[in-house]
Amino acid sequence: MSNIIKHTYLGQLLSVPFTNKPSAALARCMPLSNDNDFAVFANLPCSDAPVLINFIEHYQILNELVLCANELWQAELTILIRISMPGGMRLPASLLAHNVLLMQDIDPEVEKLSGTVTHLLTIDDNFIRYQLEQGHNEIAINLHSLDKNQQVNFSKFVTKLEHFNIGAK
Amino acid sequence: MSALTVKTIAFQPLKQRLFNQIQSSEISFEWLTNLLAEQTKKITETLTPAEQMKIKRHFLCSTMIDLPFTTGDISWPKVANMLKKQGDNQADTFINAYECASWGFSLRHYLQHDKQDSPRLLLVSIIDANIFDLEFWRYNENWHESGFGITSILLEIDGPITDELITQCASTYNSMAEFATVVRRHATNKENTTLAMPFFPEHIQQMFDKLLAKQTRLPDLHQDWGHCFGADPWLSILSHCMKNPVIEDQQYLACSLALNGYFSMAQVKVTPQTQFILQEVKGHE
Repeated sequence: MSNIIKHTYLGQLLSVPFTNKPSAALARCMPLSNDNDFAVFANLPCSDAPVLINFIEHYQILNELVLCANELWQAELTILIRISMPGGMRLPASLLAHNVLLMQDIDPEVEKLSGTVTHLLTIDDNFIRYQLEQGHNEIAINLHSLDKNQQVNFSKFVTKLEHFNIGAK
Repeated sequence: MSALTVKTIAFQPLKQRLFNQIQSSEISFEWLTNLLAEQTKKITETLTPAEQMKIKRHFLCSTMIDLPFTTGDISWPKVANMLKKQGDNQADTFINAYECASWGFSLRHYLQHDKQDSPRLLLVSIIDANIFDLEFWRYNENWHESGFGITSILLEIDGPITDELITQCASTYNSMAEFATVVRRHATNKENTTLAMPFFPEHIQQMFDKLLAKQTRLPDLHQDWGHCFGADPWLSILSHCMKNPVIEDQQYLACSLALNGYFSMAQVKVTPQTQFILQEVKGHE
């Protein structure tokens, strides 16, 4: 496993991702119908981080990142993405592609795949899309590669994040 | 014949309400992981040690139970640890995103990275449990009454997979009709294959009656079980084969459709050796 080169990036969503563009109010909550529903939601933890993004914008960012990664690493790329549900809407086609797996916690899969695939890219964000989601609007990007010459591509990839008002931490 | 053989289908029905009063996420998951682990043990204890060694992965699929994770009330490492304590072959990867079609996307991911030639086994479990007893999950206008349960499928892969597995997404927002059309197109070239479809209320069954008039389908069990999400096709095969013991190999096309339009379809072989385990219902009421 010593031949795996790991590139890491930790970023923060600094403000709304698409400046000067109107953003639809898409914060979703499951319909609540009876006393129990209200009592349950009243007791769920909630985040104190600002909500800077909606579902469409979140999926748009993930879509653009996946398309960019597919361009940069055209062969043998596997992408793992952390995602929370309910997602409120249909996922973009790029996220449903064969080389992408979406899951609640990517770590178990990273352990299994790192070193077995040429390029393993992980996108692990905690951008909160409504107040009940947990997180601090952070994003971690990692590349586990068997090819040691991937620093330039990785830098190009993380530069893309600046387009969405995401800055390095 | 399909290179995917169903070795076991187990279904643990759950009541709508799991506890006499709402429990914390931690207690709820202790309870659920115990049931899942028991089911896994029931499946694996009938295997020889050599067969147990062939189990390469165990995915847990559920969108319904994701809310406590999303809100930070519980974490996957904590739940994975509850399972790990229960012994070998417990679920260790949680797939939450693809709703009722999650089992197919898990299988696709495994096959994508599977480099073995020898026969190997794969476990996929589906949990649909209404932990917080939310009305949304009891009844929904899209599928009417819900059915809850823990389902595990043990699959053997014993050859190259060609077109046995389909995972895709509707391109329209009339996903029910599009799904039926994709099922019909896929089933057309498959001789002697019976469709195991998701359970839906009568008006949707009528649509399937019309769009899949020439295909052989297992009965819709919505009246008996409600809509059991991704478990439906597997419960359908289990119910049929428990009533009609399998005396020779049979082919089924297990089909699931997610609310947001994702499809999973797998052509699977059921043999006289396939085990069907229907467990006693658990929960409060």
